[in-house]
Amino acid sequence: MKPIFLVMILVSAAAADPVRHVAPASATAGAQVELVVEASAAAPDLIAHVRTTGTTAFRSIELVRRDDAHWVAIVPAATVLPPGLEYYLTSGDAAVFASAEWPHDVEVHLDSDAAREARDLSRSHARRSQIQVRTDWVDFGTRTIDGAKIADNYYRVDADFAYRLWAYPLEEIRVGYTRLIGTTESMACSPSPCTADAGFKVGGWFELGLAPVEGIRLDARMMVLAATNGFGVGGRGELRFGDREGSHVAVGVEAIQYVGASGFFRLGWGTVPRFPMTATVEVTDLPATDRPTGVRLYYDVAHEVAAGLRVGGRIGYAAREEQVAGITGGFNLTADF
Amino acid sequence: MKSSIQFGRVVLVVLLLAVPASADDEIVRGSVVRVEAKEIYVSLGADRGVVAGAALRIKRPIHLKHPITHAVVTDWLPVGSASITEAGGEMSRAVVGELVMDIKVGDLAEVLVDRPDPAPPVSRVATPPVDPATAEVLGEFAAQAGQSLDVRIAAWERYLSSHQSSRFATGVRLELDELRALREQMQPPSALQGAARIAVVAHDAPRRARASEPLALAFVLDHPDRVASAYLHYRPIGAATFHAVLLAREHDLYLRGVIPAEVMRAPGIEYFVEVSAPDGRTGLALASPQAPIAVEVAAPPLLDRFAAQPGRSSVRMMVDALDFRTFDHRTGDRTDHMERATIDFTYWLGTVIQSVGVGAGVYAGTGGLRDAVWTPGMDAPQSAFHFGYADLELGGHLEHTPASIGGQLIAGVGREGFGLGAEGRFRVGDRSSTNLAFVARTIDQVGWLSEVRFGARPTAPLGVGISVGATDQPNEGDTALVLGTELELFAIQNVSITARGSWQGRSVAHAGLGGGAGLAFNW
Repeated sequence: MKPIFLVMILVSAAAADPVRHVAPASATAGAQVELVVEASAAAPDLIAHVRTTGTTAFRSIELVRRDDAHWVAIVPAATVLPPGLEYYLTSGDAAVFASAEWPHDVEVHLDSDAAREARDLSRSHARRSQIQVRTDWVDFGTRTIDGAKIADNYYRVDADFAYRLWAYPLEEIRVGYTRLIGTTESMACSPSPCTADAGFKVGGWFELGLAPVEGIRLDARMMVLAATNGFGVGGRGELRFGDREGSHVAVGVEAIQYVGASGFFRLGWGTVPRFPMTATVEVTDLPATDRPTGVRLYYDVAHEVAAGLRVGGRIGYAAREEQVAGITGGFNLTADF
Repeated sequence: MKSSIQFGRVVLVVLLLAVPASADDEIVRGSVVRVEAKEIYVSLGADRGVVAGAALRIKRPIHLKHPITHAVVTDWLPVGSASITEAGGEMSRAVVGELVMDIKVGDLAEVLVDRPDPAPPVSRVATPPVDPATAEVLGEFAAQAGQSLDVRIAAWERYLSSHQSSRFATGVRLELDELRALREQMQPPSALQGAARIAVVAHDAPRRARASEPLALAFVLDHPDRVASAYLHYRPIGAATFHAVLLAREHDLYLRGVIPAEVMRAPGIEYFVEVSAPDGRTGLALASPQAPIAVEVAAPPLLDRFAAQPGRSSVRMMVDALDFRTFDHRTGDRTDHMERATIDFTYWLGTVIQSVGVGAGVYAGTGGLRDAVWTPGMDAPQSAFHFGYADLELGGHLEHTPASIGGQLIAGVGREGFGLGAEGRFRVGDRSSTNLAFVARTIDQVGWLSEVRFGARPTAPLGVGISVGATDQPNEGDTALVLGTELELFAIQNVSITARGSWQGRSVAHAGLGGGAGLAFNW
């Protein structure tokens, strides 16, 4: 009878032994987590029940003895994912730290580049590629001089492909083609005043999207073209604060040999769901370098018609002198995939 | 209701059982009738058996609501004890020393009187059966009889921290509120109270946390028996005061709590842990108000600060015409007028950079001189200027009053080709309500304008603007005074319409009227 009584006391003492566990402050995504418990060697089965925050099913991991006073559960790296790791501990059938109803939540952090990439992936819905076609018609108005109508206009088509690398600071690379053909007053024709063709039929370009700081982006483009006067080069730079497809402010310049240069300031706002809009003020001498500088204002609005597919339109006006102004218009199509 | 009545009976039974069943001595009860320097007088004398040297206990009666039944229950708090110094016929005197500071007239006085006869037996009342949860609350309540306020508060806090989902939790919280209010009355908190470290908790503090997400924290008590309850005090970094949340007690050993998502913002949060001992003492267990644990919360990336938020953008279109010779009745052609049309796109950031904008417009005008008479061969000068602009406004507060400075860079084409312009402005007051703005603008080939504008929003749907200014537009001619009034009606959601009227004149004789209208969309 006596031994049985003694065993009962021992069992009772073992069950009452505290199981002490200091929860880890946080965890790093993709790195295993150790859950260390202070408990006696005689503690009943110690189990860690873990799951990624947001999921429902717990996975059981039996703690193993590390030394006389410590037990440990290794949570595999695959379970340690943002936003967090939820767990509770049981000894025997009883919860000894947190519970299934209220598990403890440890935040799981990504390293800074991985966190940034995760945000970019989320914003782009994990679509890394983009194809875009933009058309633009710019008319500075037609003047009548001595009965002769002097047109001053051009159209432009840009088609490009972009791939989002997110290898910071390099966010994106873009390659594309541009066609810019215009009719404008020329000093080279006769009888004066008269108009001549301007621009180029095809130009190719390569652009890097650099963002040393998330949200501040510099797009730098180098361009080569075959213009009327021969082989030419060009470049374009745009410094942007904010999201190109949403609210942002951008300032930029573009210069194309034989064709002209432009500078612009653009404000974009994504305050109307699924209808991003921009307004741009531009000063330019396109489509020919010898033309006086004019101003343009244009307003763009786009709409996502299907997942990853956006169509947009542009309307505005352009003026190169006080008496005459013309219409700017265009459309664009963007597919993200 | 039925269960409440039943619990009322149970409480009564418990209270009866709390009274000692029998005693050889008798406790006689009276009250404190006078308090003097370091001594008191009680309404108990030799006629009640009180003698010099008898033990005296002072209590303060309190009325509490029972956490289950909400019935008013009379109880008492211990104030102190002493002994009778001198017993009179009907009153006695006791020298109590510094204790006199805590005693008030009306406090209950109890004196132990030696009686040879045993006290009559107290009849036992059968206890009606109750469920374990109720029994626990009743047991807690009974155990607090005669305890100090601090002990009662600590006991209820401990109960709450480990029974947060109990059906009695609401009642216990109400009881706690009353007890705390009573404690405030009786002993206003001092700065030193609770500053000592009376417990230790093990805790791995996070160094950083995500914004706008709750932060779960767990603490391990080194000596659970020394802690009745614990509070997590937290605040955003930079805030003056801490918020407090009662930590949940789990498995006796652990304290757990959550800092809510709404305070999780950059640059971070701070926290410390305060505990109450079973005897009611309070003190620190982890960090302190002066040296709290800091957790960094990263500011959202710039990209997210530009995230889509309604009400941040607007498009405003305005047209107006100013005639400077409406009232000029002098002979001859004195044509002098100007027309303006603008479209503005603005995005409000609500930070130091209050807004950025872009826009375009046209100035067109004829004349510009107060005394000129235009004749064939000497036509009135005409101007037109097509322009676009970029706008930036920076703001902050001057002595708690919103203030901002802003400007525009203007580029356009006019009669002499490409030209530039600029605008600067300073505003005091909220631009969407009452404000005063000083504006100066100059545009190549057109002229300058400077004005003071007062804006107000007397009612929600109506904004009023009044301006006084001067200009030499549209042809850099003679200076004119321009007085304008503007009404903006917020008629439909997201849309407002504006009407503008003005008087302007380059001299007493050469003056006229103007007017305009506008339409704005706010998204």
